[in-house]
Amino acid sequence: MKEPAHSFGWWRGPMFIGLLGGASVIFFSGLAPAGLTVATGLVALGSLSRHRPPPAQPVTEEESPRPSEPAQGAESEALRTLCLHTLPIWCRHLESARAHTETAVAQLTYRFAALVERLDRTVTALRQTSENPEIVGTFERSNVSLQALIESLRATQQGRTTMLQEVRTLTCHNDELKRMAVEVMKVAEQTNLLALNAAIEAARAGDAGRGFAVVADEVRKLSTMSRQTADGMTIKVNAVNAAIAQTFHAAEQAAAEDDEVLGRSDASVHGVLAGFTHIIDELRQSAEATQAEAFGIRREIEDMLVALQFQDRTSQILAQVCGNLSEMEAMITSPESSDPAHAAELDSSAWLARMEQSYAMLEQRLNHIGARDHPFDEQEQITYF
Amino acid sequence: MAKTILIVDDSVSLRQVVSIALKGAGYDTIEACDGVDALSKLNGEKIHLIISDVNMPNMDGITFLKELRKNPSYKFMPVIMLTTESQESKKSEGQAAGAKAWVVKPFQPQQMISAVGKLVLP
Repeated sequence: MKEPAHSFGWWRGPMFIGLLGGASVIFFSGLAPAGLTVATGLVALGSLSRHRPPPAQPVTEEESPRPSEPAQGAESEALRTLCLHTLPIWCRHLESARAHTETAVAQLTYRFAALVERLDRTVTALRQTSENPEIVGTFERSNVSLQALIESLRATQQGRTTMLQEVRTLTCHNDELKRMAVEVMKVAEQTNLLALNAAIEAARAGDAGRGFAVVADEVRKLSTMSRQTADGMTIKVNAVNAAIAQTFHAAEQAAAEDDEVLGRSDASVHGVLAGFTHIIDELRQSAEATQAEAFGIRREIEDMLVALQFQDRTSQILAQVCGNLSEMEAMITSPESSDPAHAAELDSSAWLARMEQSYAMLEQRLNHIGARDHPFDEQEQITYF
Repeated sequence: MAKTILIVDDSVSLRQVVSIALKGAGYDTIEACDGVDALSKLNGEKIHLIISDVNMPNMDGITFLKELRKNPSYKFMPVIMLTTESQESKKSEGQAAGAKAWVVKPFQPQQMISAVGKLVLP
């Protein structure tokens, strides 16, 4: 009897299962141990019936004697029983592999997500520290206060310099006083000389000049007193001059010391402020560098997470294969399947078409038709409606 | 205030990937593992956009979208379908149900952020 085109006979069914399952599992799961185990089993099962050539042409009993019907029935039953036991096992293996991958990838993504969150928190904290308005405000206030202090010291020094100028002017006045004392002394000496001449002339006049002699004597006494006063003035002026000179010297020395202290303070304040500015700049630069680095690491992690999306695809492919195996199992366990006459009517084309309908991804459809070297990227990632 | 995106996917890792990408762009995220979970999480939450998978247990993405549109409050809620499905028939089904965009996995975070930026409610 001629077999219908694209039909299952139980002598062909296992080969179809083996080839289909083996190829699918190897292709989808790569070289994963579980995938290889399942694939090897599937192919082995398929090979059980490969020694039997398909009866493509009708043959007569004289040309090629077929095995007896009871023997063929026993072999089909054995293969059916084998499928019945192995299909659920393979399905469980596939599900186990899928679950392991999903759990592992989920844990990985959780960890990556935690890393990204920690990274974000660190960058935020760093940014808040480097851009903290309180730090910048404190620095600005310190700068203003210290500059005001320097200005105050400078103003004090300026006041002292003005005072020294006044003292210097006082010295000039003293010198004038000294010259005036000398002039007084000269006047006293001249007066004394005049009194002496008057006394001589009075003595020469005799009795008539006696009264004049008394006047001359008094004038001489006055000139002596004037000279003594002038001497006293000179001494006092000299003493005042010496005191002023000493004070001036001390003030000048103090001013020089203040000047030096002021210079040192100014330098220190500028040094401290420059140090603060440098620290703040360093902190800001360091924060910026760390942020850039953190951004790079974040991008790397994002790329890795993108790569981990394969798990979703793998999971769907394995689930689909598992579904097919379950359908196969259901078909085998159906009461009709034990009837060779009914089994012969099973349509492989319809089966393959149903498989193709169940695919979600372009990748699965390409695998179905055997296009191996296809790109995994879908043609168009985003469609807007 | 950051806008909130609801991510619906049965794959934990996928939800994490989307969430990380969106959080990096300044969005807040809420996660749901299927359509039923998503509908329950919509109550009381101010959501600005939904990203949903298609193939999910309990309630698939298309059914979820149809259920969502029955509620007048969510009639204009932008929904992006994120799926491995690339068949035009499926896309048409999504469009008819009210999806605003169809993103095929694996997606690039920048493309997703760009799509969210275009569609998110003000």
